[in-house]
Amino acid sequence: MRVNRIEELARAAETYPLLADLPPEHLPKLLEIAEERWFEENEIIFPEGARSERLFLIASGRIALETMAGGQRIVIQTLGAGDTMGWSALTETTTTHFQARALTRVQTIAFDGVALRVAFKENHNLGFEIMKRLLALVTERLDHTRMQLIDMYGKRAAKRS
Amino acid sequence: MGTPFGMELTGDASGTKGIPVGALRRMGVPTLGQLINALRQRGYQVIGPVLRDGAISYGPIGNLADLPAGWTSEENPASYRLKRRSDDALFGYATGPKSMKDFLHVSEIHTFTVDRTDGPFRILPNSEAPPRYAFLGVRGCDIAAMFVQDRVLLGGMPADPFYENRRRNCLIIAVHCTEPANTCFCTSMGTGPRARDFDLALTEFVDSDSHHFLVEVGSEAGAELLEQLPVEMASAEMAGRSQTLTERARRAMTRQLDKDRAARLLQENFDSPQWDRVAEKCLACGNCTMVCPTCFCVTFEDSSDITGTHVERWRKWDSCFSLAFSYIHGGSVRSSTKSRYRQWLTHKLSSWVDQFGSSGCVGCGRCITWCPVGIDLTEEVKAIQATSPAE
Amino acid sequence: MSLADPMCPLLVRISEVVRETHDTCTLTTVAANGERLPSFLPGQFSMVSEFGTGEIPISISGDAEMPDQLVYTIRSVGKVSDALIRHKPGDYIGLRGSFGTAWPVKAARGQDLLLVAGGIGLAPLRPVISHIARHRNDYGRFLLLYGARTPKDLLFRKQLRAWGKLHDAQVHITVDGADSKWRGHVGVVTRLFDFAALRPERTIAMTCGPEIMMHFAIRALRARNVVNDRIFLSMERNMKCAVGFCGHCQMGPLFICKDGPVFAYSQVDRWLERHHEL
Repeated sequence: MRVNRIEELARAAETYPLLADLPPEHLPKLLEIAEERWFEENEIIFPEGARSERLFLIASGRIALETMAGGQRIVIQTLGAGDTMGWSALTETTTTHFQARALTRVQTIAFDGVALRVAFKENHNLGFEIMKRLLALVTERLDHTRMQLIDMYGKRAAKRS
Repeated sequence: MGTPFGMELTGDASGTKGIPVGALRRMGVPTLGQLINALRQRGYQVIGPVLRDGAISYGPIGNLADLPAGWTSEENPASYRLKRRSDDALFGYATGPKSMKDFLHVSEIHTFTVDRTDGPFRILPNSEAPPRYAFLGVRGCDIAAMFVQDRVLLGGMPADPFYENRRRNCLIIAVHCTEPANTCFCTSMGTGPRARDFDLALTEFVDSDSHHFLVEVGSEAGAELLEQLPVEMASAEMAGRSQTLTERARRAMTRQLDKDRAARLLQENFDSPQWDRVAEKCLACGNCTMVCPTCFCVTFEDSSDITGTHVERWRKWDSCFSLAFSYIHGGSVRSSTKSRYRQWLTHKLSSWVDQFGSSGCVGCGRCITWCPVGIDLTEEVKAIQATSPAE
Repeated sequence: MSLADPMCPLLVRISEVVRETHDTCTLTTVAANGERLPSFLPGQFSMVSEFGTGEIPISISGDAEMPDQLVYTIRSVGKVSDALIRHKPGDYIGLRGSFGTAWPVKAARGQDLLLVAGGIGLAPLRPVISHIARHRNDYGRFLLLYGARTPKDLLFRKQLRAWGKLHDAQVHITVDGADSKWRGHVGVVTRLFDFAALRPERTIAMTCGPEIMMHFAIRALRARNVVNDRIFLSMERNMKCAVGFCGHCQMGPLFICKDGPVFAYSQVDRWLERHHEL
């Protein structure tokens, strides 16, 4: 049952930028590590500052990345279907940078970070393919974050009366 | 001619009894005094060259004695000096800091008043009786500049009513330029040294035994004016001498600007390193825009009494060299001196052509003379050309 | 000789003030002395006078089919706008015109409409949405992507909900930052394109907001195969006269006041792509 659901998701791999156009020979290894995980509305998927354990692909639902600022919990970014989350699981000895909270019921495909790192070490081609896509995603996310940092609607940066 | 852009002259040159349009006459100096009188009697305020603030400027003229007899100016980049001439020429100078712009597109004008002293708000437009100007002694470049401003201020919908009111009634008595300044380049821009589109045009001859003028009649209004004055037929020799003098002036001008090439060049060289170099010198003071006879930018300011019951809005000249000029909340669009100089020069020589069908420069050289650091736009264009990848 | 001065404003009375956010109000104005108000097309602007302080360009944010009033949504960003939003109903201000070019509302009939708005940039697009709401059957799919700084900065909140309920319409909202009470999207407005099922060959896109936001929005549109002729934007510059003779609002050979403020991207791409403080 578990395997069937994962395979079904794997057939939709194209909908995840992290897996799009991945050479097909790599999929079985990823499916071996993948597990389906559900989170209920408001459930903390991972807390801020915890050991990073899993990389998630969001299949459905919405997630808020949160942190504490000025004594209150603020939302940095929201993520949805197709997005990748928990990159720090791919780097050794790091912790999560934000808290991830389910805004709705959320379906994910989760990959154990240690298992992924071992798989990448054994098969550099697989590691390269995934890391290459991840870099593109990180770049895009960084671009978006920079745009947020511009504070373009703020009074200093905005240019529209 | 006194006719604003877009309004055709109607009327028949043969309608005036004695002197046809195109005629040439000889006129002595005292007759010029009578001409000034005749203009004043017809209700014109005569504007001509006057010595003021250490320069030959344009200002109200009451009689011959107001003209700067025996004075000239020496102009170089960042330098203007009055000098005594060896003769008593009345128009023996090139350009001063003022132009017809100072009178037709005035530097400050009250546009309307809002009054609520009696309770309700009332908006009272400025319903001035505009002055009627007769310009005496203006040059080909000045007249060309006025036509450039016509296209900006009268060519659109709506027209600028304050400019139109002044422009529609003015009379032009030009003087052909025979001694250009070192900063002049009107030949490059096709605006001089011979004046065009005048009511009357004078060529001044100062000889040891005689001081007189050749008068060319450019319009019926000019002919009609001349008929009242004691003028004589002009000799062919005088006409030839006038041509010789302006031809000599044409050859005396060393500064050059290829206007068609400049228009293309500036479109293609927003990235020229020359913009950085000129920005190191430019003080962004805006002098060039103030003395330029075509620069037309204005801003608006409100002033009110302390109770706020009487408010006036004023229109004032503005300059694209100020940081505030392009301000929108969050900052100025053109925040660097480099971008502001580039805007001025590119607009003047290039995008002006796209907007109004002619260059915004008439080659009068005022911006070179009055720039405190002597930036010379003809040299800037050459420097950009030298570094242009397309050249 | 007395010519009508195009710089002389019309006196109008403020009939209603709606506080939209902490720094933004919507003023409804009506003729003060029985004169007729100028008509307008969606996207046009007026010069709004606070007597004694000055005059600023403000896009008209009302319904073009309500000729007895002119509506302005004004954000306090300077001394004139700050004075304007402090008015109460019954106060008087001055107006000049409806000026400039309009959104291609007529030309877009039969097309899908995608509106991308940022911050106060939703105000100049509101007349388009009012038009679509009135003539819903004349248009295809309607999509509004709207970004603001925080949830508190969202304009026209009630209307946003109503617009989302129009037939075949989607309204997606995102903010740059929020506290954890906010259930909507957090992130830049371009991320909302992920939710927009675009048919590029039959879409007319209109964008209005900070120039940097429009720049990113246009990049996202082009990445989704919407061509430059189908992308329209509204530019802002320091307009003083609004009729092309004060010189302030130039960008290259364009006068934003009379050649714009609304442009097809194909008209302005060569100027905007330069990033040259033009």
